[in-house]
Amino acid sequence: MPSLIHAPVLIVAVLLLAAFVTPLIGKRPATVNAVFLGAGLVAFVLSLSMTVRVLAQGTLSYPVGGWPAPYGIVVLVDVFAAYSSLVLATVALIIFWFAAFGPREVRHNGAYFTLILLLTAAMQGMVMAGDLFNLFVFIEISSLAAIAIIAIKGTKESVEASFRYLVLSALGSGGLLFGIALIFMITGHLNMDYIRTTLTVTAEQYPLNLLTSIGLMGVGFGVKAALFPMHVWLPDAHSNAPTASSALLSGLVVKVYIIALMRITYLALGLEIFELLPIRHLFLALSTGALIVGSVFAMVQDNVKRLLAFSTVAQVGYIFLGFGLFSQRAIEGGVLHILNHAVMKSLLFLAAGVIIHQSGIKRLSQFSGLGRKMPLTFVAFTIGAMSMVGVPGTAGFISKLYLALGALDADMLIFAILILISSLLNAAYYFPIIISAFFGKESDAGATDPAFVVLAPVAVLAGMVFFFGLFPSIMVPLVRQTALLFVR
Amino acid sequence: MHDMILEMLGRVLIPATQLFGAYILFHGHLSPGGGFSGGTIIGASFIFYSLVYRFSAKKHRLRHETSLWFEIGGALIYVGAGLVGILFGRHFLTNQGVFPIGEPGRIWSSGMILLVTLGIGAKVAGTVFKLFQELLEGGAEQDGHH
Repeated sequence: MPSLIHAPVLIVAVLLLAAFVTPLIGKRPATVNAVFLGAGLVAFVLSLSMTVRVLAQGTLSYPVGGWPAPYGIVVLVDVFAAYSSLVLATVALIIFWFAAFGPREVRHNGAYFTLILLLTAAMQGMVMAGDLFNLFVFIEISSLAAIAIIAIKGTKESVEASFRYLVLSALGSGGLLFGIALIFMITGHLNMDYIRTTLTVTAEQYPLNLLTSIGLMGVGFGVKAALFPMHVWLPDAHSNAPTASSALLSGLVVKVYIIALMRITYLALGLEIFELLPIRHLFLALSTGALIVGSVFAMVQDNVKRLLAFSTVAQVGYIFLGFGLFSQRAIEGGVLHILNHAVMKSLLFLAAGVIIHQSGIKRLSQFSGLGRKMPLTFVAFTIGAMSMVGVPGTAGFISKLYLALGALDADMLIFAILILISSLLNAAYYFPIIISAFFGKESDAGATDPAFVVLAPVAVLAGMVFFFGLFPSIMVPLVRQTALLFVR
Repeated sequence: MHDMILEMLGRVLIPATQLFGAYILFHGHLSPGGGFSGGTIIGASFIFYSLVYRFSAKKHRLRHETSLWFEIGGALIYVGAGLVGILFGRHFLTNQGVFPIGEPGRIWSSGMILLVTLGIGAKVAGTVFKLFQELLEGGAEQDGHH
């Protein structure tokens, strides 16, 4: 199909168009839902067919306006971008469903859907951008939209959390812009391909510029991706947002910044950067910190959403760990964890949102016996938790297995042990919740499972956890080729 | 409140500001200016209008829907102009070969660029005025009456 070459821009354009149209029809809920879900579905179909095309015919490079690089803007969809786009479109579509039919937590669904669509469009643009300037623009759109979908809840805590996120995120954006400017200064290009070829000549002449730029971009992306110790904004922001926002933020938003950072390393800076600078060691050290600190903080939380938010800090560590170990299987594990964590953390956040809405209970200490009153929701929560721990048969097991095997490939046994310890820590805070919910003393809180339409996205995500756990080979072509972009 | 001086000044200055804004907008591809600067000037004229007539007559008030339409219409024009390129079998936002380019140096000389500039102008004007409205009414929307 020749028209599929337009898929990259059409994905972004359709989501943007829907974002602009929803406030106009904000008074008719059914129409708003139709436009919202329709845009998500179209983006998913386009993303899926684009991925198939990229797998069959290789990297898709789209010159916007027909102008070739380096003068024009080029959208570059390689296998990593296609994979990321597919993960985003799939998980976003399921969360869209929950936002449309789940419990209402915001006053104006029209404005809320606009922000969600803008955020999704920006994330799609970010993973496919072929030049640094467009990357930056999409980063800004997604940052602001992400902040707004927290603040839209309107409670005191959510406004405070989103303001803190705004300040730190703006700091990160400043670092990114400065870093991009420094790279532009020594290469004269914004197109990533041209930056790489120019850097082979100019990098030796201006090592300080390059070093400063990488440092600034590292901090910028680190703050936005909540890499330990730059994660301080995350627990408040993710736990005080509306449920659908929490799922989007924890499941997808933190990861697109990792994807963007890794795309910059191999597209713009060149893989030599991993040998010249101790980036890998930095990733290893910080992700070790994230795994331990995230889990330990999660253990002492009594609010279920805060627990999940701290767990995200730890899980981001897994993805960075994969890139830090830098063996083929470790990178495959890290890349696979982008998908698996998106699925299981969205599942957990949506299930937690349903539990909180149906029972009015946020505190884990009051969860006792709730599982027997709303069994379906808690079974879904249990599936997500098992996947987090890495029980065989679930998606989380596969990515952890690949990471552990990758650690052995890289002759770093210590990190295989670290993954084991981290899994035990996960078990230590997830299993008590489940045990008390199903076998604890009956509480007097009245709660039932919600209607099917609310539970459907939760059920689909739970199904995906098992699907990717039992048939991981379906993602192998994408993940393996992505790893080969780094390890040649 | 009815202010004679303000109203008389407004009667002269508002059309003048809007004309100047339109000039900046339509010459965006020929001289310094364009969608953002022209749109801001036109948006400022809306704010001026609102300040002058807001309290004197209810029918003069610009409604929220109006600025919303400006904002959204502008964005739709931009995306729509981009999609025309795809319909013509070219790339997204293609100008040459899809839109008539016109004669160099004249207002109609840049094909799609003028259209896109007008879209940006409408969007920026709408946004500037919308920000003013939101600041003016400061959270009144949350209580459900505006």
